[in-house]
Amino acid sequence: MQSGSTVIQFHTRIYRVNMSRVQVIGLLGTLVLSLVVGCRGSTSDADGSNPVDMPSNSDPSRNQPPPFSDPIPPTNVPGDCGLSQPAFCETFDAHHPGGRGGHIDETRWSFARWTHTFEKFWHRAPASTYPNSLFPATFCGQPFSGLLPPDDVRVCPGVGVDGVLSNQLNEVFDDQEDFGFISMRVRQPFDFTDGGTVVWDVDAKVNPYHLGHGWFMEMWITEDPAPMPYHEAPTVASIPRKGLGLAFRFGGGCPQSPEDWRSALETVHVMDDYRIIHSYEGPGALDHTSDNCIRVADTKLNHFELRLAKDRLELWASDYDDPQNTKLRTVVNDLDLTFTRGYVHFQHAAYNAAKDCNCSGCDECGDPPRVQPLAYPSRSQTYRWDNLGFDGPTYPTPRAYDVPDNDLVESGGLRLGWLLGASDEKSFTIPGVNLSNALAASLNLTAMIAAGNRIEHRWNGGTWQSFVVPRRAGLIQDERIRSFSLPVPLSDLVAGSNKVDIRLPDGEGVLPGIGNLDLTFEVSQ
Amino acid sequence: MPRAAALALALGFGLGCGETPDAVEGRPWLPADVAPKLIALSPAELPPPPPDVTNGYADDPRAQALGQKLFFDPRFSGPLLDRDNTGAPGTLGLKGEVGKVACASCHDPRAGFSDVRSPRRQISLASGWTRRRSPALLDFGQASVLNWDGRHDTAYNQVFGVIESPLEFNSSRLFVAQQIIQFYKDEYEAIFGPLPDLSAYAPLGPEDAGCATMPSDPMSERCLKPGHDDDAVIRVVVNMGKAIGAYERLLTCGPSRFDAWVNSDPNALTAEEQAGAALFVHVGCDDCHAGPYLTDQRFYNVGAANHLVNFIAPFDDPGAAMGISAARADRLNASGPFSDGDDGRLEAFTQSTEELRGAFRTPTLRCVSGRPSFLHAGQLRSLEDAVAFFNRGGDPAGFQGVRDTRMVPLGLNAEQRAQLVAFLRALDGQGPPPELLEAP
Repeated sequence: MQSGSTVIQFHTRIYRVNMSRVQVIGLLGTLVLSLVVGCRGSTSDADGSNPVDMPSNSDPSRNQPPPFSDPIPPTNVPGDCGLSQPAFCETFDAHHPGGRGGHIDETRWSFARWTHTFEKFWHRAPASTYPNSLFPATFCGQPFSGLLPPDDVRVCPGVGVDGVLSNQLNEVFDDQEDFGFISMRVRQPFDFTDGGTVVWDVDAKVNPYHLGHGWFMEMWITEDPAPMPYHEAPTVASIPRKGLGLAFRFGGGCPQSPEDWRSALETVHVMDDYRIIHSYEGPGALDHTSDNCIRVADTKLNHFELRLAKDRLELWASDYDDPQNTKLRTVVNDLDLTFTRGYVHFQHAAYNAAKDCNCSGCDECGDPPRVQPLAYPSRSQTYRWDNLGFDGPTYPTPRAYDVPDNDLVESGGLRLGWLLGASDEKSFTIPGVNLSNALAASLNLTAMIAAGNRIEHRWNGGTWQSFVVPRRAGLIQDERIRSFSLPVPLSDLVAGSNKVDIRLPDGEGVLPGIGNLDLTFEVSQ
Repeated sequence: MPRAAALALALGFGLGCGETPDAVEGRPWLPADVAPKLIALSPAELPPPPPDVTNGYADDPRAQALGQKLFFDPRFSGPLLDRDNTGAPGTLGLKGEVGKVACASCHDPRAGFSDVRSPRRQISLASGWTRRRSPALLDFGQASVLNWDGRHDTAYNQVFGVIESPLEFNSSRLFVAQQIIQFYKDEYEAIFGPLPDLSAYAPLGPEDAGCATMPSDPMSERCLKPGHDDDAVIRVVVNMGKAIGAYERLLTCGPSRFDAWVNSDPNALTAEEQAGAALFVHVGCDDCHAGPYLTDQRFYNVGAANHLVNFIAPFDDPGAAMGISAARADRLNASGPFSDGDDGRLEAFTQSTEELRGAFRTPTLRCVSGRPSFLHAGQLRSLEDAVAFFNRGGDPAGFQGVRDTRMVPLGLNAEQRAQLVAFLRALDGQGPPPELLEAP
């Protein structure tokens, strides 16, 4: 937003679409405040208006030194996600209902989920507010009950890091006393060959009683457009072929107290050839500044900047109560990345938040809980995202066709994927495929599968394409959730409707299955 | 070798040795300045495990066969206690389930008997989360003092720690003895003689084998059952441990391409691997990773912060300061009444308790590339990170005791670090024969 009048118009639109009478009363008060303080904003789609085939040599950012050769305070230029030369900026100005991701715009985003209850993989239970828990979640400003996909992802107004009301993406899930996450991948590639910056605003809270359990965010960049990269929890080993991952939990000696609520960059993963080559963790490996702990609060957004080059990253972030003051928090050298162009994922992860709780002298809260009341952190939690963007060269956004999630009602929730036994085949029809300007195609999916087993797919009755899940020394060989980007021969595809058959012919044991599928085309324009 | 000298060598200042030991003759492909050191790491034949005087059955094929069965048998374990046991892959079952933990659960035969199952593949999730990484068991028989901290000095008493820990088997010696009587009577008696009459003790069910809930201090608390101090009960478990120890002595990594290069084949290693081998001894890694198994079997403080807070509270680990003392005090040790011989193995550790504070075992580097993580708590997730750790001279803080003075920054550049990693990967062997990798 560049002006107060625009703010009014914008908020009026949100009011008509989205707001209850009670919300509007509160909102109007905030609007008055926003007119006084001015606004930083959030609207222009800098990436979509003038896409080009290749990185632009005329892009002035390419002639600048890497952005972190000498750390300097970032400049939050109003608009364009605070980036002076944005290649992509998402401000969630509009609702885009339909698709896997609720209100998110699936033409720009790939949206993936994973959660299970005991032995019910792919299952997502309804999310509700736990009023008697610690840190109970709200969703779009309200307590909630029984939220299931796609209603768990909504665009709603909230106060941004500039103190101004604007649209934010709210997403929520219940960890079901186990693990799960929501993963949002920008379809447009991010190129940091000459250095690049990724920015995002989020209320980056963590469970302050965290001992490995709770809710937290992750940010990943992967070379392939495979969904939902690595998360460290039982069952999940979605290690990308090439990737960089940042996990924000309690590290670096930050306080573990709700009275002094902080988070920090805890781990930086570097993946190559489906294996970990670096997992930087702790003060010896991560070069924390003296100010590495980021003050966080529920519903209060922090601003983050990742300044990235092939061998070095800097993480900058603001405190929730000093949001305009973005400070250098952590530096990592010797990244040894083996790629410089990839896809940015923003993830909300959770792992059995109620386990690490307000108990002293016990390993867990117990069942029934040993400390009452309000011992348990909430199993459900909401994160609010805004101003997600990056700079660098602008590439065409790949053209993608999501397979809608399964909607099988199961145990009061939904089974979002499909179980595939060794003799099963699952077929999907993808309508309306446009092959124009297509350079390459890929089938992207998540699979519950063991190392050494095959994922096979064929298109329109053609030849089966086979991919063997790679084995890597020191990594899990049993069935785990993995994600892959599998090449699809363009010659096997047709304009219009395409049918794909998928099978896991070696699938035995623990409920093999698939989900989070899409067909993606790299395009020349 | 002093580190400064080692670093100078690493940076290209060669020894300029004028003398070539006899052993080097006939192997002109070995770098002359480091050839004797390389040969010390790779004799023509890897030595077999030394005799285990504490275990009269250590090389008894019947004990080896029984030990292999016991190694894979989960029926000795009690209830899973930790709520992270969700039933998902990566866990051994649901909280409260019994009979789920075997030795093989955390020493996976498919991965050099290390733990590639547990989430994050650092510490292990059995009944609960252990505080240290499950060590790989290949070439187990080369060690006389066991565990990361030297807590056990015999194979037979090491099993007591596993059985009675509420974080591991969450069981008890009585339950284990009763299970041996129920399931292995004939095989046991064929080796060890008649089982004792334990009918004075009421049979324990697996749900009562160990703790019912997780103790507040699971590292030290035990839920002892009747018979825990009865030598008849103890003897059965000791013999179980001797059988398992006999099996574990068979587990070897075997010769590697590095051995082929040192002894016979100039082309067995790539140029990068050869450079890494030379660098390995140039910078003094073989000070501790010495001998044919690339370990001196001793304990050092390398300055490894235990900063991990993955699923457990941070554990301020005293290492061998606690372990060696506990081993000395243990009635079940090599000097005790259940040992078949005493070679004074603990007497070799003459350091004071303070000198051992924060010190951990030097692991063998043979077959190291198959391990999922490194250091005593799995703090490092890749060989690249392990090399980087030693290159920076360890962590600045976050560990007990005093870091070994030899832990100083090495100044290796990226190419040199990659060479070391390549060399370490060249230490892989064939591993044990397939018939030892599964339950018989």
